[in-house]
Amino acid sequence: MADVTLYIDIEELCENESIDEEIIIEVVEYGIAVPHRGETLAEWIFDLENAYWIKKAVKLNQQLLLDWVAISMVIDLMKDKEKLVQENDQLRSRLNRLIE
Amino acid sequence: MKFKDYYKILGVDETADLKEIKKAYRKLALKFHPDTSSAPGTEEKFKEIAEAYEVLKDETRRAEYDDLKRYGANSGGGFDAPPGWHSSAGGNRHQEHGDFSDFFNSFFADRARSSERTQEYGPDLFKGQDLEMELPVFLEEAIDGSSKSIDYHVPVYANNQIKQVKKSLKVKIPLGVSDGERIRLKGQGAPGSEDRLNGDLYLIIRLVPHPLFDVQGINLILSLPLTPWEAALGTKLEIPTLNGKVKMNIPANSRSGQKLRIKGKGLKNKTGQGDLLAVIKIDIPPSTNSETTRLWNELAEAEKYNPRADWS
Repeated sequence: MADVTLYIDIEELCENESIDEEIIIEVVEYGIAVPHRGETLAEWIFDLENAYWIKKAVKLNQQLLLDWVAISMVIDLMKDKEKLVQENDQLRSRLNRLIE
Repeated sequence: MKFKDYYKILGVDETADLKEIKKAYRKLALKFHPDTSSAPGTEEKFKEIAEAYEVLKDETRRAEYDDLKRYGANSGGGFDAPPGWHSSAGGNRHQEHGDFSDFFNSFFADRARSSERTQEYGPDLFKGQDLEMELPVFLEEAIDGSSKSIDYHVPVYANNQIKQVKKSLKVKIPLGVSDGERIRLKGQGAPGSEDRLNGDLYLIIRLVPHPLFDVQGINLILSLPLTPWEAALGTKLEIPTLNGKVKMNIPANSRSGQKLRIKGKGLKNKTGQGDLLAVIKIDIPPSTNSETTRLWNELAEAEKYNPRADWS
């Protein structure tokens, strides 16, 4: 049975993705991602959704050469879009049951 | 191998300075980045643009490319490296630069890797590639944390070739997973080269649409069809849930759209246990006989209720 993990700590995130700690601090300061727990930087642990947004933000920073303010806005819109698509699917499914 | 005209791809002149190259890249990257455009083929187009920028933004790499370009202009058809040509970065190639073309991998991959150690495109240097796949999960599996077998393909680099190797795993679905949630299987991605770590496998949970229930957060929604007389008089029913049926009293004078809550019969997550919400939908018989019509008429005479009273 493969081990399933739902969290990743800052050390592993930095190592695995070759991201500097300073960049993660910046991403958190701009509200792009929020640590799941951890008082100090060394103790920060992220759930996989937040880790996903950190990776996405770093990628956008490198590939689109955008600053963190722009990335923060883009990521907010991407999160909103994801939520709306999900809600739309759920509402469509409920509507179909009501009219069928 | 096909020669890549990086200047043409970025739409810049061969004499363009770094500022112009960066400007052109940025404009095209914003237009074709897979996160900002959903048009078909944008991902491939973006890779091409990123590859061109990767080479032209670096002074040494650009000079090497210009040499190759001059040589390529004199060779007809396909493109082969000039005799004795090698990148100034030299060394052994550990792994192909998966996202870029054969042309890039043949001439610039090593140099790109050595400079990538700082940041860009770097992860594959230190560990194997992370993989991502969707995992369909039935609602019943989400509430009882059952195990699932998965098959997937892992890219393995061997003998200068990337092969797709089939892998099978058994995964325990964490209790209370939600649609779109990611779970990580550490070290189950592509193998890392030499002594490097394996990549991880990320599974994105996709809750399979259920024939009866819709999901709203951790609550489940069930459409509950009632006849007009069941709604008016009330009744006792057996209501399906994800883990068996439960008995429920339908109160008299129930209305269409009214929600009846069955505590604790929804989904679970880290914060709590959801409920099942049965939403009443009044359904009339599809066909009537003369006796039924007579009874409806009798009811219409006796009951003067007008549901459209507030229209006037």
